[in-house]
Amino acid sequence: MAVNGLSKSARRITQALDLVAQARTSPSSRLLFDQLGIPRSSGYDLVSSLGRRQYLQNRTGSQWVLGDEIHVLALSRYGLGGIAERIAPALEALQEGTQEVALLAVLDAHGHGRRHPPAGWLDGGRAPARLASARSLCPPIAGHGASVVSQGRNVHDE
Amino acid sequence: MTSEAFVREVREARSRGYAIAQDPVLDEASSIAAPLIDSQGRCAATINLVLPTGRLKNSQDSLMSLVCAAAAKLSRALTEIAT
Repeated sequence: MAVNGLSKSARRITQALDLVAQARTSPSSRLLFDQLGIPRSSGYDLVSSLGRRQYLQNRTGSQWVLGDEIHVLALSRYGLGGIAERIAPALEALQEGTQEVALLAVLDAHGHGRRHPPAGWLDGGRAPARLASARSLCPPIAGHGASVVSQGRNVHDE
Repeated sequence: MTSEAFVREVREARSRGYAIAQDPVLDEASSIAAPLIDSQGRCAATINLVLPTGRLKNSQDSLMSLVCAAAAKLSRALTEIAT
């Protein structure tokens, strides 16, 4: 019984993260709960818990985006988790010093087949992004425009 | 670009410690990149600066220095956490 409950909770967590990650625009709490098919009270418990652990962040008051801890997890995949806290300041300083767009790029040598392209951009050090989902996952650094994806490439739209 | 020319460019970039791509995909859009080298001497990632080609032509040396400095700083951090 407890194992089933745990499994259900884990599934809900991954569904919530997937929904936020794949959404073209950041979903509201209400939309998230509707899509998960859970009542509001359970939904608030879920997003609050994920928010406390920084897997989700509520940056605009009512809309959810992936949190900083997801960024650290993504960097850890490439052996960069240990310097995650230093990457964003370094890229921001470079952007401020040059007034241009700074990106961290990684080569995905793990080979995950069709689902993932072979390389990804971590735009401005803010959030993990694959080429196919960079738009929804990459909030712009203050003072710079949003990044958009054009024909599989990450292009600055300022 | 031929495969031979590509390999030559990669070798040159490796020996210089940075790479410059002028209008590789879009006209007037260029990039300067430098590697983050881990404690085992491998390239773990790169820092890329995306900029208008005109600015690259006018300020290449100073911008390249900033990109390389940022990459070197993060490379040192990578080495530090490994020791």
